[in-house]
Formats: sequence, C-alpha cells, structure tokens
Amino acid sequence: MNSLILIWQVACFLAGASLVWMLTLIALRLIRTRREAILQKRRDKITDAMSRILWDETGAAVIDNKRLWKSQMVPEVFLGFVALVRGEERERLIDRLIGNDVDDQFRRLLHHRRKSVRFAAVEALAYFPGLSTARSVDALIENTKAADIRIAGMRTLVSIGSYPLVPDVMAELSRPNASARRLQSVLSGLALHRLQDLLEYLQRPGISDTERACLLEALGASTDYSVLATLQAALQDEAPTIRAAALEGLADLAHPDAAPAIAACLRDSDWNVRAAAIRALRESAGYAYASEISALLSDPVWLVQFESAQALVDMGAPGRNLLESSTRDPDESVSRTASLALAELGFAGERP
Amino acid sequence: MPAKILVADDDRLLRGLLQHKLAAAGFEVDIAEDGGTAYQLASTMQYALLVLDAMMPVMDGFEVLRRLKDNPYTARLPVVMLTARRGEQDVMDALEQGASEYLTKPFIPDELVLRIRKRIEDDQARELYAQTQRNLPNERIA
Amino acid sequence: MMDVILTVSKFIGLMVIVTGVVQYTNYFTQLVLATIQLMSSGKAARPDALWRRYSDTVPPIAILVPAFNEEKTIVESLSSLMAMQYPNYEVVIINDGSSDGTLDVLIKAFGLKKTSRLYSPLAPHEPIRAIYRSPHQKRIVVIDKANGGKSDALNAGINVSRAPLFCCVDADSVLEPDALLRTVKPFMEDPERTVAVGGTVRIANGSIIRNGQILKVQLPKKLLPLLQTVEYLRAFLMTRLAWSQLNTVLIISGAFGLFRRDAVLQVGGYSLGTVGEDMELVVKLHRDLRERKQDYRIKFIPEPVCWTEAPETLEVLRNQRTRWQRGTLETFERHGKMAFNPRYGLVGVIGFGNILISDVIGPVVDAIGYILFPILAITGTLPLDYFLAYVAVTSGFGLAISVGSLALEEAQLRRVPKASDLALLTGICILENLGYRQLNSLWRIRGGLQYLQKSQSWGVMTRKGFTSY
Repeated sequence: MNSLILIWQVACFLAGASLVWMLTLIALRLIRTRREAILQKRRDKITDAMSRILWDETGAAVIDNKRLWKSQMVPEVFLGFVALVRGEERERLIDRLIGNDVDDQFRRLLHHRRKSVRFAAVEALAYFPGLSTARSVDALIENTKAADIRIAGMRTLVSIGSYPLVPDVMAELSRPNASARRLQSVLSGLALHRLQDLLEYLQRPGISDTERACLLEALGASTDYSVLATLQAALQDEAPTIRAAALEGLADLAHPDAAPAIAACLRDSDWNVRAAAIRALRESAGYAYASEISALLSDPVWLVQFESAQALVDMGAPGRNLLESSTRDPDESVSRTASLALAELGFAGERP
Repeated sequence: MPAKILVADDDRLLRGLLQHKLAAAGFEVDIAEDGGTAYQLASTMQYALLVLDAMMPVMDGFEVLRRLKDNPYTARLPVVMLTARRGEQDVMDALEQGASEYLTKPFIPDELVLRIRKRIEDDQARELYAQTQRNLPNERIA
Repeated sequence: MMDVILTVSKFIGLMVIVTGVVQYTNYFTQLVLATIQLMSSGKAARPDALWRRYSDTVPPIAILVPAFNEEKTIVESLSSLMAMQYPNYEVVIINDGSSDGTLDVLIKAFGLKKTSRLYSPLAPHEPIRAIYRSPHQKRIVVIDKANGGKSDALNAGINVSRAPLFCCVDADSVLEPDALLRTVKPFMEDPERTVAVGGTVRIANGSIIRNGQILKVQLPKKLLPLLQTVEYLRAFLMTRLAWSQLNTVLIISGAFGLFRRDAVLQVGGYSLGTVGEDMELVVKLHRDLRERKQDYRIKFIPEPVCWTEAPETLEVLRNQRTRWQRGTLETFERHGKMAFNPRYGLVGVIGFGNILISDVIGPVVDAIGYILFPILAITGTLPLDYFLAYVAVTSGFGLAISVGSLALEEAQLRRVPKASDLALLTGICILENLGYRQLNSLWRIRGGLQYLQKSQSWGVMTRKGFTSY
C-alpha cells in the first residue's frame, strides 16, 4: 500500500507544483504589465524630449528633467534618433545631451545589470568622444564576457578615434562565437589609422589563416599604396582563402599597378579566387583586361561565368561589344553564357 | 495655397519629425503609416510630392513606386525615396523606376526640405513656362 | 493459463512504465537544457537595434517560396515578403505546375517579363519552363516549372538562386518582418561552421492578420488550435532549443528555415519523393558533415519568426499528424545506420534515440497501455487504485512539462499577449492530458501503419497544395 501512496503523492505534488508555478507566473505577469506600461510612458517622454530638442532651432526650450535623463532607456532612444537624422539636428541633440551630463550617465550604464542596456550604452557612446569615454569603454572591453559587447566596444573606440590594439582585436577572432564580419569594420578602421601595427601583426609567425585573411582584406581600406607589395605577395599563398582575401583588399585599393598580378589570378585553380580576381580587376583596371575576362565566360563554375559577364557589361561599350561578339562564338558554352548574360542584364542579345 | 505633401513611413519618430519640419517650411502634410495606405492616398488625392520609405508593412516602397508610375494618373507625381536601404542596386532600381530623389537614413532634415522645395518650384516653373509658351502668338514660336 | 496471461501482462505493464519513465526523464532533461540556453541568450534585441547592428554586414539571402495553386493569396504573400526588413535579398517564387492562375496573377500584378538566367542544374528537379522577372523590382524572380512536389520545387529554387544563404518559406506562412535579420545572426557569429538555422513557428489562428502581416497577436478561439499552441510551444521552445544546445537538431520546419546553399548542394539538395523533406534534409546534412568530419553547427533560435495556420478540424489534423509520423519513420529508415553509431556522435545517440523513444516505440507502448490497463483493471488483475495512480502520475508529469515550457515562454519571450491568456493556456495544459495526448498516439500509430503499408497515396498528397506540402 505504501508504494501506492507514494505514487499518488508524486502525482499530486507535480500537479500542485505546476499550478502554483503557473499562478506565480500569472501574478508576475500582472505586475510586469503595469511596470512595462510605466516604462513605455517614460520612453515616450524621452522621445518627446529629444524631439523637442531636434525641433528647437533657437535652443530656448528648457529640458532639464534630471530623472528622465537618468533612465536606462535613454541610450536606446538616442540611437533611434541618430539612425534617423544627421547634420545640424544631430549635433544639436548631442550638444544638449552633453549639457545635461547624459554622456556621464551613459558611461555609468556600462555597468548596468541588463545586457541590452550595456549594449545600447556602449553603442551610443560612439557619439560622445573624449578621454573618459575611451577609458570606460576600455574597461568594459576588459571586463565583459560577452563577445558582441566587446566588438561593439571596439567599434565605438574606432569611431571616437581611440584605436584598440591590434593583438586585442585579433584575439577576438580566435574566441568562439566571434562575429568576424563585424570585426572587419574595426580592422578597416585600424588599417586607416594604425597601419604599421596591422602590418607588424601580419609579419608575426604562427598566425592563423583566418587572421591573415581578415588582415589582408582590411589592408584594402588603408588607402595607402605601400601595402600593394604585401597584398601582391599574398596572391602567391597556397591557401585559396588568403589569395581571395588579398584580392578583396586589392579591389578596395583599386590601384592599376596591381592589375597584372590580379589578372594572373584569373587562371587560379580555385573558383572563389577567380571570381574575386574578376571583381578586383573591374575596380583597378578599367577595360584593359576585357579579353582575359571574357575567356572566363566558359568557366566550369556558373558564378565565375556570371561575374565575368557582369564585369564586361560594367565596362560600358567596349565590354558590351565584346559580349555581343561572344554570342557568336563557336564555343557553345561561351556563346550561351554571353547571350544569357546580356538578356538577363537587360540588353538584347538572347538568341532565338 | 500651400503645397500638399504625403509622407509614407512606418516609423513614428520620422513621421513626427517630417511633419514638424515640413509644416515649418510651409507645406501641408498628410501621413500614411504603411505602403497600402500610401498608394491609396496617392492615387485618390492630389499631392505635390510623396516622401516614401522602402521597408513598410503591407506593401514595400519600391512596389508603391512601381504601381504609382504604372498608373497614368499618378505617373507624374514626384517621389522622394527616404530609406535605410543603402545598397547600390536599390538606389539604381528606385531612380530607374522614376523616383526623383533617393536619400538614405540618417538624413539631413534641412537638405530634404530644400530638395523638396526645389523639386516643387521646378515643377511650377516648368508649368508656367509651358503656359507662357502656349499663350504666345504663333509666329513667335515659328 | 491464467499464470501465463498474468506474467505477460505484468511484463507489458512494466514495459509501459519503463518507457514512461524514460520519456519523462528525457523531457525533463530537455526542459533543463532549454532553460540554460534561454538564460544564456538573454532577451531578444529590438528590431531597430538589429538593423543598426547588422544591416551593413549581412550576406545576401534568397527566399524560396514554392507555390502550388495559390492564385488567391500569392500576390499578397509576395507583397509582404518584399516588405521584409533585410538589406539584400531576392524572393524566388517557384510555381510548381499549378493548374490554376497562380502564374498569371503574378505576371499581371508585378508586370513580370520572361527572361533567362544563368544557373547550373546542381540539384535534381523537373524541367523549368521559363523564368520571369520584374523589370522594375529586380528582387523578384518567378520560376515556372512542371509539377514535381515541394522538394522538387525547392531544388529548382536553390539552383536558380544566387545568394550564399537560402530561406525556404511556405507560401501561406506569415513572417515576422525581422525574421531574416534574427535568423541570420548565428551565421554572422559563427560564419565558418553554421550551416542551417531554424526559428520558432507559432500558431496564427485567432490572431488578426492583414496583408500578410500579424497586426495583433491573440490566442486561437477554438479548442484544437489552442491545444496545438501548447504543443508548438513545447516542441519549439523546449525540444528544439535543448537539442540546439547539443548540436543535435534533427528538424527545421518547412515553414521557415535558413540554410547555407553550398552545404545543401553538397548533399544534392532536397531528396525527391519524401513526405518529411524538411526533416530528411537536416538529417542528411548531419550525416554528410559528420562523415566528412567537418566541424559544423545546426542552430535553432527561440524567437518567433513565422506564423502558420493550424488545422481546425480533427480530420485535417489527423492527416497532418499521420503524415508527419510517416515522414519521421521514413527518415529514420533511410538514415537508420546513424542510430547509436559512435561515428555520428551525439546526433546518433540523442537525435535518433529520441526518435526511437518518442516516435517509434512511444506511441505503440502508449496504446498498449491505454488498451491493456483498463482491461487488467476491470478483470481485477491490476488493482484499480494502482491503475488510477498511474494515470495520475503520468498526467502530473505531462502537466509539469507543459507548464515548464509555458514558463520558458513567459520568462524570455512574452509573446502571449495577456495574463488571462496565460491562465487559459494553463487550463489547456491540464486538458491536454485528457484525450488529446491519447488521440495523438493513435494518429501516430495510424501513420506507422500507413508507413508499413507503403501507402500509394503519397504522390497524390503532394499535389493537394499547401496543407499537404
């Protein structure tokens, strides 16, 4: 009989516990609904206050509700505004916020217990340059465990002109959950302002292919033609990702001197590299290599075919003429690709 | 009579901002909160210009633009695209379809107002010019 | 004689209890894992923050929409797909040999023109008759092809599309405007390894939908969809989220899923002639990537991305469930060698073990229990009080699990609109144990029987349109 009672007890306990759990949740929900209504009201007030600053061309309106500016929602609302307007209105908004010490408040919010608040605060600080911002964002990057917040912090540092150290940025790449694509903009910023550090890191022995690829791609943003040699040397690398990344960098630089080296990559064994080479040539060589590019109309990979056709069309009349004449090529695959491409890109040339 | 402008955007913030800015610049402003309403208003009322967002519920801005340009009654309504989409293809598509301007967010409010004013004045000037030409004695044209 | 019957029924009774315990332990583990996952992922970012953070760097996506006899809704569906918040995507509609005017209404509404497009036939499908594009809306591509079923249509879409990622969508699913931005996040965070991402599918019945947009979220007013709401919460928020944590997600709903094009082409696209093509593809991906010893992730995100209409009548629901069961069993058979095979790691043990327990053995044992226990109780072999206690304890567990998933939803997502709705759902959790669960087991057995018969009606089913897609 004992086991029977035990089973019943378990059953009753489970059912009872679930119901109590649910009742608690419902009660919490009621409380939360009310709290959210209050928060929404405050958000609307912040929005109103910022709107008034935007419209107030004379600067006469007085908006000094200290409590309002202390809210954890200010960074988020602010970001909504700067995503919308720039120019005089944005400057005025930033000035008035500084006048109300809102930037101090943003720096304090970097320690907020909610991640979404910290995230918004660090992003918003990108518009409030200065030593104290740089210092507090540095501290945040040092202490936070969340990769996305660290990367957001680095982006903020780049935009306020306080550049993070290259090894610190590269360390992000080797950590799990790295958003390499978001890091790329940080690296581009470093390439523009801290080129020597980037180049030094590139020379380090034992860095991974991913790291090198990211660095090479970023070099394109340096606008410094002295990196041409580095990029061209990387075209000889045995890893296709490195070659493709170097080509992306060269495409950004768009320097005609690199064209012969890029053109050599049109015959690369990896199709990603071939496609990248076409894109890079388009940027740096005008129509000098039109016939070499048109040879890829018969490439075994359709994406390369497409890139070459697109490149020819973009060259204007000479390229397009070449494409037109390719539609009469004896090689079936060339003529087919050429006519399909012309038709697809909106020009006549489809064969009957 | 002030010129009437239709603003189509699903963002409350932007609608408020433009309403204020455009009203201060002496325009009358109508509001549409989604693409469907925008198309309906634009094809039933007379506006001097439409400020159009791209990503809106019901019907996206590009589709609104295409339908307006396909409709002979609205084909000549000047459209200023104001959107967060920054892709080259988007810009070219919109201009190709007949948008008069393409501005990306974040935008400079004063610039938008200037462009709108210029656009409307140009239209009025062209109309005036056509009228004076029509009213001239025939031999002077020949 | 009596002795033999007694021993046999005792043995069967023990079986029922053991599987019951295994199933519920399994559920509890899932609940714990899902809780950990949800806690660590934190609250979902607001849509405008997503756009600000990711719109500059996200890869292009092709949305693939297979359509079969959708002339009434397809224009509206496409219009709402064009209004998604994502910087660069194209929408590829695949008209799968519709017998109604699906293609004509599209041509008329969007001013489509016949064009040609470069593509290689990498995945197999029925011949494409023509490709249409809009001269003004470059993001629209419409493929007209001979009828071949959903997998076939999707394969054609994969071939013709260009983007590195593709998103398969049912023509009748209603997407959240920021669905793509949310689901692409794992691809951004782990671009090398992520090959597929699924998201939570919710039930749209009862909500106000206009022009392909959810205007107001409301709970269904009818009982069957309400029961399914609880079921979906459990399946997505608990099971899939838990398995995502262990990289053993075996199914990404056909209603919405984001995939890496090259990985899917590597396995030859969708398999033709399957009932559960969505599950089969994911299992196939796991198998291929494990066999090639690749480090990969198939992820699941808890945020709702897609809303779908649930069956409101018993008959339609029954057909849906038997079809799901057939699909599961079919996939299980086709890739059976992965089960408990150390070569396939956790996928073989947890993924397939789970199917074995809850889809293969589970329904059978359940049914035996439902039939046997009352008989035993009536004949006096099993004391009535023990029988009742057993029913009570299983219902208690069932309730605790359902309430647990409801709590997950409430703690993190809060998409159940009102406090009173929460109370209603709690009631449904209790009700679910009295009849619905049993009905489900029955349908699964029906599906199993049909699967064993290799029912010939499959070909016809795929041509019926969406609900059967």
